[in-house]
Amino acid sequence: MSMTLFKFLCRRHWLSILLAYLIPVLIGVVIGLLYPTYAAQRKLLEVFKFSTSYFGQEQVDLFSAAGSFTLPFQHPLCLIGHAIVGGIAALGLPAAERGRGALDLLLASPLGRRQLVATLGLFSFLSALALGAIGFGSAFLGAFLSDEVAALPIARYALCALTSIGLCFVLGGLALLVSVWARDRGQATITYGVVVGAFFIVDVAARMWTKGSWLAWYTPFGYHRPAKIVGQPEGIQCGLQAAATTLLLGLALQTLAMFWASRRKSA
Amino acid sequence: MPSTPAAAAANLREGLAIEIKGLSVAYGNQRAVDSIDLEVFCGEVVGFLGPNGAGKTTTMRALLDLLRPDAGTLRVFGEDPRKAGGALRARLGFLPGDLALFPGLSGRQNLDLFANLYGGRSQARDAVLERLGFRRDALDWKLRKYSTGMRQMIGIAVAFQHEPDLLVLDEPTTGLDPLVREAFLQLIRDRASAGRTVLFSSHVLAEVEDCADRVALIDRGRLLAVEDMETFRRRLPRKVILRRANGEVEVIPFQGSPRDLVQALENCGLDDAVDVEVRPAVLNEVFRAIIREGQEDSP
Repeated sequence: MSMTLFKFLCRRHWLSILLAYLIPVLIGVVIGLLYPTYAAQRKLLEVFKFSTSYFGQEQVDLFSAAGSFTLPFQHPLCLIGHAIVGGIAALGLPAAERGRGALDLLLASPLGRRQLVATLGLFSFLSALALGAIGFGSAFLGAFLSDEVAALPIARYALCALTSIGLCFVLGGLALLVSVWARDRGQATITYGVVVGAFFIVDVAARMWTKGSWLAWYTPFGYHRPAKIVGQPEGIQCGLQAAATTLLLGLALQTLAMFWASRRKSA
Repeated sequence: MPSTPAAAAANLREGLAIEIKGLSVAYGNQRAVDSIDLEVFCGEVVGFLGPNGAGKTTTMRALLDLLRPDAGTLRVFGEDPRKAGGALRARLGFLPGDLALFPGLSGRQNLDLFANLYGGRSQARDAVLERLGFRRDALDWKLRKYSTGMRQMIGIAVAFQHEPDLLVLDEPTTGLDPLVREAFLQLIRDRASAGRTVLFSSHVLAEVEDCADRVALIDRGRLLAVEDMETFRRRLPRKVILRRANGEVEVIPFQGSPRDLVQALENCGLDDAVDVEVRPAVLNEVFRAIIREGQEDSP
């Protein structure tokens, strides 16, 4: 790991990552402010059946406090935030700098190829960790605003944060792998966007189409199911398994990226 | 530890800094470098001369493990750059041909970033910038506001600031004005006199003549010749323009030592000469002459 490179990454990406972190905070705050009037709006919301099945109404009552505050973890905007936080640093380095030419200068320094990828992996993991913590904090901030803190099961929400970290870490690993392969930022961003977009569509299908729920196992988004963790008795076990799976998968992707980077003919 | 700068310089001059044997690199079906052998001794300045696309950059990138060769072996200070790791790279300074720094950072921040990657700041940075005549107040400007020449000066400072034992500079004078270029070439000479090794590429003949001890000529991926400067100068095909009082202009092709030049002029008759001008050799003519010589020598 290189602390110099780590600081450089923080300095370079803090604004974009901060904006992505604001998404769950804003959703938490909005739900916290709206929650007291939820019951009255229940009938209206049931008209949009598709959205309730997307968010897992069958797993947990989305109009209960425990159910509604899962949104900072699983709102589509938050999932996009996961893709941004996971991918932004990895797409910038090495792919973008390879295209621009600065990668040669970085790798001619004592910072080696593996060290570069390992530092990006660490950055990705810590960003994911912060995103999980912010999601957790946002749910409780919303609950605090609507005076429902006591209704939230802390352990299950902590597990939601853990699967959120796992999801972000997998996406970070994927971005790093793409970035090590791609010749420049454009190619890396398009490839990452297409792959993540495809995963997202598969996940939406798995959520909405009951018979196709098995599809969820083929997308990293499918391992992040806050409604199930919070609402189902087996939620804790499923959540632990999902978190372990995604964290290991993320680690495997990061390792593969490191191996690939050290084997590349041209840096 | 050597007690004086002279002793330290003498220590650095021992052995080979670069040893390349049978280096070949291909991009797909295209051979960029074809079985190159080159040795650079410690404390030497070697000019790597060749036209665009000759294989200079490819060879330099391979030396720094930025590009893995298809065949051949490379040694830098006796170590394989691929296996040696950060400790070896800390002894090297590199200036890429297509220099790209970080435009969102200031010049100072760019320099600090690389200084920290190399293990900390040294006094050399300020001295290098001062000698190049870099405006001190401009160090805090964002790099995107810099002219090409200013960016190149920052690139040079990046390569020099950690006082490396070996400098690998790919077309380092790109974008520099004549004054800065002269200061830069003097900087190279000073590095060499302090026992440091310099390998620099160029397609400008005069630059290499100015400060290299030896020259390596490369074209289409093949090393045509490696010679000391004196031998190389003798081979340079120059033209002497002789203007006579009656307005006649005579072009005399010339190759050899200054003594040969005087002899050639005397043979032409200098009684009515009003002006003599020796035109510098042009790189492509040098290559043509060397290739022709090679063809004549081969059976």
